[in-house]
Amino acid sequence: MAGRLKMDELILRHLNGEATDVEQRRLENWREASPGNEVRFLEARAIWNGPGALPRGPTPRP
Amino acid sequence: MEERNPTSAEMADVSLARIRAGEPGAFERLVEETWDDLVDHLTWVLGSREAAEDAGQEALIRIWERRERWHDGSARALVFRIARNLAFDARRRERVRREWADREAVVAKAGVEPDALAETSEYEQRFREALEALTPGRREAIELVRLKGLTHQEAAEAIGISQQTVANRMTLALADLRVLLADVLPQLHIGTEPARGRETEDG
Repeated sequence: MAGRLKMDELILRHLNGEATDVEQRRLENWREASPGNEVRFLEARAIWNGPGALPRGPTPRP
Repeated sequence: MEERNPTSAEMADVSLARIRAGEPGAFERLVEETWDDLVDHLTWVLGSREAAEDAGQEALIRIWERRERWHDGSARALVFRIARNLAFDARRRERVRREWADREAVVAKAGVEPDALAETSEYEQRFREALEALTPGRREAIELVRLKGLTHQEAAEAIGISQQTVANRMTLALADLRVLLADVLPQLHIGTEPARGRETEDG
């Protein structure tokens, strides 16, 4: 449970455009590790961004 | 007998009759007597002093231009009534203008079809309803970061808590939203993304 919440924290940082390069790679590895992880990521992204017709990737930050 | 200055109400009542009669100086006295209170009140209604001054000015101009129509009564009350109506009209127009501007901006940015836009609006409505079910702290964190576009650090400074606490609240809020929005998740096309090549879209 704690591990899941930690990954959600990372997902949220990614969706808000705040993840570092290291965190990005960690997230990518986690997503590729299992279909369940990928679904969990896509669910979070869908909740954050809304309908898929409006893909809104992370906002680049300076 | 000692002279006393008339109260505002007395003066305003007299002013309306005087204004109708075109008595010199009556309108100027009405402006002088009501302007500050009028603008303060309209600023509260409209949230902008500049817009309040515009509405107040328009109300006073109408009083003057239509003076032949007025019967007895309080000029001050009439000014406020006209000005409030103008202010509410202005607020409605501004709300409609903003809503359309938002819709156009979404369409222009994403190039989406009207159906997709409606879908987005419906989702935003559900999203905001779900937010209402969150605890105040979690809702505040999501509102600042997701809706207002703040970073975790900026949100932490705005609330006066640590960045980690913001992250914790956001994470717990996401867990709540997964449950609260579970019924709409299948409609959000979450499974359409290819497994590879997603780096471009997601960063």
